[in-house]
Amino acid sequence: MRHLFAISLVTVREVLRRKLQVNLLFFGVVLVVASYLMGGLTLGERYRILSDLGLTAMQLIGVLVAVFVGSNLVSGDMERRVLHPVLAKPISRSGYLLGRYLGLAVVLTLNLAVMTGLLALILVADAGSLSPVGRDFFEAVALQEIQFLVVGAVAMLFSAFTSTTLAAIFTLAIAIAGQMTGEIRALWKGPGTWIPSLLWYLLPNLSALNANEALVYRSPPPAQAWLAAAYGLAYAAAALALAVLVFERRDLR
Amino acid sequence: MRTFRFAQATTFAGLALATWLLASRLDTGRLRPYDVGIVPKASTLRWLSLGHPTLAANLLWLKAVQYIGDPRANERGWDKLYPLVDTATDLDPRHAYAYYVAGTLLSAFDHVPESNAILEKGTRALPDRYILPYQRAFNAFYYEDDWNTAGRFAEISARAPGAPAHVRQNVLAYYVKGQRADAAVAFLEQSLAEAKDPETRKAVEAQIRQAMLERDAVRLDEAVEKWRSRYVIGPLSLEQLVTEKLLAEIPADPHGGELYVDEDGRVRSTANPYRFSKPEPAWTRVPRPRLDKEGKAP
Repeated sequence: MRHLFAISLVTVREVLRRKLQVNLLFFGVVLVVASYLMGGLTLGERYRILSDLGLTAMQLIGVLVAVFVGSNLVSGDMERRVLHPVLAKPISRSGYLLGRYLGLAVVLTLNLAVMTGLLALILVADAGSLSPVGRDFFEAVALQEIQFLVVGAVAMLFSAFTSTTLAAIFTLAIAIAGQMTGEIRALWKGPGTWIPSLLWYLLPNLSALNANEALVYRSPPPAQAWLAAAYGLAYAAAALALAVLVFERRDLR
Repeated sequence: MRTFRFAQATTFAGLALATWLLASRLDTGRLRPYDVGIVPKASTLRWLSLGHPTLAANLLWLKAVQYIGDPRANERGWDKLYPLVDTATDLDPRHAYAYYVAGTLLSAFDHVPESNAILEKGTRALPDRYILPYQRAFNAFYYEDDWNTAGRFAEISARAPGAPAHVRQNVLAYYVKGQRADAAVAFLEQSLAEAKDPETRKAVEAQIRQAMLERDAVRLDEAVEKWRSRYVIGPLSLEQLVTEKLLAEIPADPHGGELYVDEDGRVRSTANPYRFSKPEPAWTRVPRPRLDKEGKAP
């Protein structure tokens, strides 16, 4: 357990120094601020534009960080040949992988916290009261965090057995497809309905973790959202378990 | 070296000049009013939004706001407002403000059927917003002289939570002018059954009395009209109508007074002589002024 935390701490420090992470976070901050400017273009109901665009900007940046940083963590170490000296120490492969993931999760949470703070500030300044930053706001953010954890776990899975570039491409494709599985299953009629059902179970159903509508209308997320949160955590855990399985058997020579 | 630098500076100056000349010939877009080319289908946008239909709806709404806000909007026309807002509300059916704004503007700019369509869609999607059916009722009586439809939508509006008390009076007025005072009585009796406080009950009871008077007075007015066609002048009393077999009996005055025929041949109550005015026939009315290119009445 000590090794796991040590690796995660190293991961957090390493990632926070990366240009990609810093640039994406900066871009996220710019996008959230841009949502404030966009809110000025609407006719009445500024809140709906601010909250919707702000939350989507946070999601976009969070998912991109999870994809590009996550897919680089294990495969990047292999490509740079820094994995071997680490594994030569009394650290199991699973401990190493989980430590990397834990570090990634901390970075994703930190990013989300920065963007959440900024969006909350904008919403409060616009409304002139603390009312927009209530339970519904934090519930929407919590669901978004779970989305990032799922995407991060998928990135770790691909990173465990393929190159950084391929892992990033696969994870990005799955992150996009994961936003559409619900729609595909609902709209697919006629023969071959097993195909969307199969996709529904295989791919992460990320759209179930979107709480934009609930935030726009200041209503608590539907009961299904908490089921989706449990599903998201279970999916991330399963992806990590598969990543460990693959990584344990991988020939690192 | 100096020649090389001079060549570099000349090349830069030449390219900058060419860019400036080309830029000055570009259409800046400000020369014509803001317009929308194609409004995509809601299903396409739903796919492209990757699970964020409200985001797609909000972006489309921002487009609609730009379309509405162009100072030369009347010069351009309003053809794309309905498809924009219809698609935005397909993606986000709870966008109440979009229904309201589009409904109000479309009717004001001679797109009454589209205004009605968007307001009816909003009424179906948001039964708790009284303003949407209220606006639809306004369209019906103001633009279409359809008092019955106005009454029907005013009734929907009056039943919505938070509807102001005056909407009930609108229901009464529209139904009476649409010759459907019986529908007004039925609606008001139901309102009375649901009224909890004594003030509301008192107000509704007064409206019921007026509605009953209007319902009965229509029959009486018709009998008076027949009398006048026979004898040129009006009857001296309502009893003469019974004697002449134009009426079976004289109904009781719902206000508790006596019914009488005034100089204009309309039946009124001594306790409350108020009657709703008859709607003007469409052919007698001065046509509504069409708005000019700046949106003002000439």
